[in-house]
Amino acid sequence: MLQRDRSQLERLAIRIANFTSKSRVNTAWYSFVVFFFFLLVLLPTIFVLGYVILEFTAIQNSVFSNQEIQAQILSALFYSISVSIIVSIFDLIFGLPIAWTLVRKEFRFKSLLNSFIELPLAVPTAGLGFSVALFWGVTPSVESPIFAVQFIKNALPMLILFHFTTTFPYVVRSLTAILEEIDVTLEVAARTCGASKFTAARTVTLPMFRSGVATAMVLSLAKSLSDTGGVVTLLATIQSVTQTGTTLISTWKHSYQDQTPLEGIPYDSLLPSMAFLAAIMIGIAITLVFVAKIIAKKAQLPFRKVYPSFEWAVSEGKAPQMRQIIAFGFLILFVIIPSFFLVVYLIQGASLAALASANWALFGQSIFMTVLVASVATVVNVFLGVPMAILIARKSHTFSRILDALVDIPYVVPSSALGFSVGLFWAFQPVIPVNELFFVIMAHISMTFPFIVRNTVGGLEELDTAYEDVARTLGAKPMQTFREITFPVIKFSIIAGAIMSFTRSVGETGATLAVSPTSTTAPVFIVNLIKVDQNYFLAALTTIILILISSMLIFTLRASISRAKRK
Amino acid sequence: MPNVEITMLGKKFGRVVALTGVDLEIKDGEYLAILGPSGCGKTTLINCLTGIVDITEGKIKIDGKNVEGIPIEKRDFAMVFQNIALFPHMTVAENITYAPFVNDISPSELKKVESEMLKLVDLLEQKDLYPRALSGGAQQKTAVARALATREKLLILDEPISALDYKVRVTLRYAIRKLVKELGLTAIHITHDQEEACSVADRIVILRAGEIVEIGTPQELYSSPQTLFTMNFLGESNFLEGVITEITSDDRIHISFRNNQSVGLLNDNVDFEEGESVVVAFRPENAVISKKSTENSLIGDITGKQFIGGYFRYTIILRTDDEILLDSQLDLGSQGNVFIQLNPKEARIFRAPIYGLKKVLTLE
Repeated sequence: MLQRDRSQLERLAIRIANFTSKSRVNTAWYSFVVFFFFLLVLLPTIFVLGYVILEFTAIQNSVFSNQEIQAQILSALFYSISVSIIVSIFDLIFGLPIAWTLVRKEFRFKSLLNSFIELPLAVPTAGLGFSVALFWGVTPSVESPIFAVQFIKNALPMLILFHFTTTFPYVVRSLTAILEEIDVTLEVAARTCGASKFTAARTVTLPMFRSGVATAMVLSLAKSLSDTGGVVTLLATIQSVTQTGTTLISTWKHSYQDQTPLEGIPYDSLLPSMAFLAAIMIGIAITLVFVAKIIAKKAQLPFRKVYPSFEWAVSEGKAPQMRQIIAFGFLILFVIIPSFFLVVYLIQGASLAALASANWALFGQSIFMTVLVASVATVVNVFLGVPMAILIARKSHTFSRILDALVDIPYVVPSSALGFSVGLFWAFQPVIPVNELFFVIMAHISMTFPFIVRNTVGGLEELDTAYEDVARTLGAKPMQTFREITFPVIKFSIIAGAIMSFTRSVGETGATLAVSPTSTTAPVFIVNLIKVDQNYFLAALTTIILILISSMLIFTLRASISRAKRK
Repeated sequence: MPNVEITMLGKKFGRVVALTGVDLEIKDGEYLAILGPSGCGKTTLINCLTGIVDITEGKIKIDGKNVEGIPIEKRDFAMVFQNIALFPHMTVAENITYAPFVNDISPSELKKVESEMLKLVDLLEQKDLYPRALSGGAQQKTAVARALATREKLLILDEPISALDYKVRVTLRYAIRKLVKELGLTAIHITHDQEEACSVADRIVILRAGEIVEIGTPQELYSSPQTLFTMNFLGESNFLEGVITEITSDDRIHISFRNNQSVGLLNDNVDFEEGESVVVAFRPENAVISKKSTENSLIGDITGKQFIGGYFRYTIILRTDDEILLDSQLDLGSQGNVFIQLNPKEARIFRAPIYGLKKVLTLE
């Protein structure tokens, strides 16, 4: 009986494979994927650019004639751009030695450190902003916990510290991923020629590493330009009125939605001003990415000169150890402790009054909503992102190269500009009636789409096409080949992409706020708790719960992956 | 002048023993090949010597100096890598002058080294190309030049040409040996190819499962190997298991095989006793085949014949049920009864191994 069932099942699988491998079905599916990408991911993301052109007269009338709006936009952009550039430079300076050590050195707490670096990724930025502010900042309205540094009053250094904390793990991860690809033998070869370790690394590995450095820079710049929730809670905690580009969009959006006028800004000017600001931020993000890529390609690293005595000195004796200690001390002080400092606050500040006064219904609803949005977005992205990755990695026309370049755009676009643009797009189109939950999900899909595609492309590039060709010569249909040969190999990359997509979605504030200020996902709930209700304790608690949800998911998936791999 | 002394070297990776009890002395100006099947510890031996890995026990002296704790870049040797390991972002000339460059010598001096080395390996025309634009042979020549430019007297070659085409390999291995001898270098050449080892080396070290099996000149190892493993690994051999029935006063040893087959052979070194189990090993060229009955011979049937070029190779099934390969100039047809007379001096007698013949002959 079992035998027969199985064979029936298998027959069904083959029939499905036959059906899906028909070239017409195949073409239809790929066409749908491309259509989906252009119309529902890419177009909404940059819709605002078209809007600005169409509505240019409105923008002229409201923005260019209003000093107050111009001043606010300029100040916000100044903060966003200067912070992101400074932070990405720091990221690189400290990220390189740490990535180096993690890849090339063997030491006792290596695997511990490896997972330590990833921990802050699980903290939603709305909570992270609060945590960082508690640790470094002077906080007039919050009783600061013990061990807090309580040192910084101004917005600029605070923003730099915060963005360093959020971007550093991403930078280190992308640097280590690429460093692992570079053959160690080259460095050994350089050393047999008499080069000190430092010289070998600088003249041989580093020049080959340029693209990795560029990717890391782009990541860091894009993340710093993009963060909203964290910046809002950070600045609210130190009670600063400074705005960055992203917070300004969400503030304006809020007042637009609530129809509460802001001082010096006529209500009619809000929408054009937001569109203008969002378009500028998208423009800046895309330009920065472009410039970073060109710099990485063209810039000659100064390697045609050596400084033997200096380079020997830093390669020998205590120097490498000192370098490591400094780098890791830095990591702990500026990334790990600030990320989790709210735990100290949570333990110390436990108060029944705060718990009793909380809106528990909204709390539960927000958590439910967050998980719902993140799950739907991740599932949709897996189904559409994987075929997209195949188009990019396996089909070789110019079209795939164009797709390859375009897929990253939602990734670098600042999230509140993205959310604003997506909201504008869906309000603009006449087909689907206004449904805020749907819009929020669409914004999250756009935002996390690149994670799945990038990871899957990475996995596909690792897999030699020869295996697929062999299967095809043995008579396997394309779909069968994918199911039996390709998928088992790339599934770990897909899962990794899904984890990133899910956690990113769980932690996202800016896009949600900019699409619909009334949809309360958990990070939005946290922002409101800190900014409006000043119920810091509940905010910390919600953050911890989100961290637990994300990390539980990550750990179960990790465990099942490593179990499957061991098999 | 560089001589290398390795005493009782051992290396473990966790519980896995990669090398054990390696004793080896390499003389100044010698071209030494380290030969063994893959996984025998060749690369580990080199990694210990160069300092890429730390040793577990024993001592290594280069030029009379204990190298323990000295990092790669300060040990006195030059190296050519198996995967060639040219720097992909540097031209041929930049690759070759990397060693003088990192030692910060003057630009004019650097130019001198560059042209000298380019001339030495005959790459003057390709000097501004990047490695990916070069053929495999030219890449490896660049790698050799890069190593020579260090001016070190000890050159380590880790399977330097095994990734190249056969013809290129043959030309390049002579070129490398010639360079080493002309420049008066000491060379350690690692390979798994016995033909390559025999054609370049003054002496060969045979390594198996982390231990030295035998050391000798190529001729010694080919014609009078001391172990069954060497006999099998270097060149081709036939093996027959038998028992000594009688040792006569003129050192002639009579051995009987299965099915009442027997021969008498001469023995030069090992003391055998009557009744002892032995293995008789001989190379395909060390026996005479004839259609007529001859004295002191084995009987068998031809089952296959191949023309190799200049001679025939016969597959023969002996009355002892063993299958052997033999070479002969004569065309004896592809079937029929033949008599095989072993050359009594060239056929070698070994004590039967305790764990069986198969176990001793396997490469791992």
